Amino acid sequence: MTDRPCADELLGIARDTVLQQLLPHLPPSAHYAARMVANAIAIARREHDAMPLPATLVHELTQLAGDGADAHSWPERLTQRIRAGALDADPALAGRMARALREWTALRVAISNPRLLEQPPA
Amino acid sequence: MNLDDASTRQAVERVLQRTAQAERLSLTQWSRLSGGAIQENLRIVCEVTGGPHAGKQQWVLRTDAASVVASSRSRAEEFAILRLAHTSGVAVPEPFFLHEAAAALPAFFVMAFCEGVAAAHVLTKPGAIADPAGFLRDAGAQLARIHDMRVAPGALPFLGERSRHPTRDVLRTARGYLDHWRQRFGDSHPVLEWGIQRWLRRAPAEEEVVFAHRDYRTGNLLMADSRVRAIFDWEFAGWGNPLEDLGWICAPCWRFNGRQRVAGGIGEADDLLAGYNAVRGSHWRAADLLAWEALAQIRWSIIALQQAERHLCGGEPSLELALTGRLVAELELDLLVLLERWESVT
Repeated sequence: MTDRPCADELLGIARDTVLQQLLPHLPPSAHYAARMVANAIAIARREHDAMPLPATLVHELTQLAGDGADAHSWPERLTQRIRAGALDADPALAGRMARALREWTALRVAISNPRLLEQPPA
Repeated sequence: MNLDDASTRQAVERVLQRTAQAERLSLTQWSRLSGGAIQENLRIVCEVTGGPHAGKQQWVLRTDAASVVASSRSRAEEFAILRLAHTSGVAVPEPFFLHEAAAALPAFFVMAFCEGVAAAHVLTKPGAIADPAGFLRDAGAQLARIHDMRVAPGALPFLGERSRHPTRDVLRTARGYLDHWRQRFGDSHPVLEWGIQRWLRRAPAEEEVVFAHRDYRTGNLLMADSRVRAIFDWEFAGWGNPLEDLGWICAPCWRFNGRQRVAGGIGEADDLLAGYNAVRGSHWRAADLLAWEALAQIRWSIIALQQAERHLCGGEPSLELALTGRLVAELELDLLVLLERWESVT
């Protein structure tokens, strides 16, 4: 049983209320803050709704991290290997690293700023 | 600083009257200029009687906002830098008076008010500048003049020792901050680590070291008549590799509404470099800047994390600081693209 409206629905209507009912009545000096509120709510909703990382990506990242890394420890293990120079000397391995990091980072940007993904790379 | 408060305003008037060597000085108008999160810039109008500044004066008063970033300069240091830049012929607002923190007033300095447009969101829209190529050539030339500035020994003692490898220092400091973040929050940043490692692998053995602005970008350049009227925000200035400044203004993170316009979100890197190379006698090309744009993404990511930390546990809850922390993902994405392009041109 879910009490409705649920968290996501509440955030959605709260954001709409800020933009449609509050913003038009705020002095211009407060508009930036109101838009930041709307942006923060949008990010929170996307973060809450985000799918888990694809299993293939997690597998690749844990492989690259080595040493029995799992879905939680791979960033720290990967950092250690990166700093040790274990991943950037061999071009093929470096290429795998770059591709995996890019796929992972794009999924994070889909949460924090999805409009950026609609534009060509800078 | 709240000039609406009569006692603050009167204290400022007394300080200004003394330093302006005036018989009388009254502050008749004041308004906040949009500025950084770290400093406060106030446009002030003063009626001055007697002394070298007699008349109606329009000045900018620059003071500390509620909080400061550890790595930025004090107002006294920034004032000394502005004075040197001004006498060196670099386009800066003329600096007039410095007040060191005393009694009820924080440190502040006063400089000339210059007309123009600095807002990045405005300047990076198409058509905002009548001659964008000319503006960029001028921006390049001004930056070159900064890099050519002679800093006599002892002139700016707070700059510290001139490091022989300033870029490696930046990268090692970045790594140190990522260690700090891991200790404090339990998280690693593999993309930034990757960028730092790739950079250190290829860092030049020798570096040119100059007096650098270190925040030279759209947003800190006042534009009037398609030229650079004044350069603001010298709080990060210090010894650095000149390419770091060139990479900073071209980095994706500083292009605002002009994401596809490499130089400052305004136009072509070739125009910026034409102006720069003509003054310094250098031969940099756009492709040379890819590595330094990547470095800029790393450096700004570290600053963004610092802003997030201030919000999370620095006792400064702020939505703006919080959202700045959430920029890191897109900064990292652009970093990865730049690293790939850098590899492919070398």
